[in-house]
Amino acid sequence: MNSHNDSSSVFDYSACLCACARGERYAFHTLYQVEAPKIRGIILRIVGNPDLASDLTQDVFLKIWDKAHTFDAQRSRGRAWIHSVARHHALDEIRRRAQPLNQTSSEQVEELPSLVNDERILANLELNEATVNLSECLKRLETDRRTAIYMAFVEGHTHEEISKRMGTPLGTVKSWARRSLKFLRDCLK
Amino acid sequence: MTKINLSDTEWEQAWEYTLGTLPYDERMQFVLRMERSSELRSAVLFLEEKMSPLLESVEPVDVPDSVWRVIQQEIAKEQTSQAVQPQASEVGRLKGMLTNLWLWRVSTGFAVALLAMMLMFEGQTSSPTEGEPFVVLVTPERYQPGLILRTQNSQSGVLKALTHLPEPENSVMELWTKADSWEKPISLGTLGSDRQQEIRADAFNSVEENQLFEITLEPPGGSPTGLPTGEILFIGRLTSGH
Repeated sequence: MNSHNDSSSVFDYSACLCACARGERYAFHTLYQVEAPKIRGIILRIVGNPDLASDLTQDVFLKIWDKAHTFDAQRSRGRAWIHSVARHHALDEIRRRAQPLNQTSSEQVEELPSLVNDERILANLELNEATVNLSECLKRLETDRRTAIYMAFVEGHTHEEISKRMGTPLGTVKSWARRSLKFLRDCLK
Repeated sequence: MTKINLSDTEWEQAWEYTLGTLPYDERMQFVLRMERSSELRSAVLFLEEKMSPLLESVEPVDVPDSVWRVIQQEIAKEQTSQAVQPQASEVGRLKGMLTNLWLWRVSTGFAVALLAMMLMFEGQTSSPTEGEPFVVLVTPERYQPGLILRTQNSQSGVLKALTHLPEPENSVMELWTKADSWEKPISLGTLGSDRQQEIRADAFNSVEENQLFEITLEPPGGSPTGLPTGEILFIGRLTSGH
C-alpha cells in the first residue's frame, strides 16, 4: 500500500465536503491534499495518459468545489461520492473521444501494473471491514465474470474491449454483465 | 436498501452506466433520464456505493504542483466574476467563504482567552484595553491564535505575531478585510517577515465591529486578482475588547 493512503483511513470526507459546500477553502485544500493522488490514480487507470489524467484531476476538483452542496451525507459516503465524480468524469471523456485512450500508447499502459489480478484485488478488499461484503459477493462469482467487472469498473473498458482482451465472444461478456448484476443486487442488499 | 421501483431493463441500464460500459451517446441519454428519475438516481447511488470498494486496489499517483495552481486560479476567477455579479445560487458560498460566522462564534471566546493567557505568560503589559478595537487572527482549523491586529487610528494598525509564523517559499502572506456590508474584501497589503509591523491603509477609517480579517497565502507580489486566491492561514473578526 502506498503512504498516500495513511491519512485517508481516518479522514472525515463527508464533513470535509460539507465544509466545501459552505465555501471553506481551507477544507477544500485539505481534501485536495488528502485525496488528489488517489483521484489521479483512478483517472489514470481509466484514461492511461498521465497528462490527460492531470487535466481531468483538475476538472474533478473544480467539479467537487462546485457540486459539494449536492452531496448528501445521509445517502452516500463522502469518499465514494468523490470517487464516483472522478470515475464518471474520466469515463465521459474517453467515451466522448470514442477511442480507448489507454490503448493509444502502449508505452504508457505498460508502465501501469495490471489490476486484473484476483488475489491482489480480493486482498485489498479484505483489508477494509466495510468492503468485506463486496469481497464475499465477488468471491462467489465465477472468475471470468469477476474479471470482467474489474475491467469495466476500475479500468473503464467497454464490453467490446473486454471481449477482445479476454478472447470471449461479445454476447457472452454482455450476458456476464447482466447475470452479475442480478447476483450482486441480491448479494449486496 | 430502500425499495427502488425499477424494471429489470432499467436496473440493467443503471448497472451499465455505473460500470461505465455504455457508449457516449447512451451515457448522455441515461444521464438525462436520471435527472428526471429519482428511482434511477437511487439505483445508481446504490450500485456506486456497493462497488466503490473496488477502487481501493488503485494506487495513488503523485499530482504535479501545477494542478493545484490552476485550480486556485480557476476558483479565483470564479470568485471575481461572482463578486461583480453574484448568482443567487452562489450567494451562500460567498457568504460562507468570507463571513464564516460559525467559525467566529466558536473561536472568538476561545481565541481571546488563549490570547490573554499568552500575553500573561509572555509578561506583556500591552494587552488590549477595554473598548480598544482589536482582532485575534486564528488558524481556521484549530483556532490557534497566530497574530493580533490592533487599530491605532483611522489610517493604520499594528500587526503582531503571537506565535511562530509560517515562512512560505515562493509565496507571501496577504492581509484582507471585509465588512459584512461590503461586496468583496479588500487587501491591506502583503506581510513582511517582522514579528511586528505597521499596516497603513485607508480602510482603517471605516472599520466596523465584527469586521472580518484574514491572511491568505498568495503568489509573490500578492494576489493576482485583487481577491483572496490562496489558502486561509489566519482568520478573525474585530472586537472591542469587552
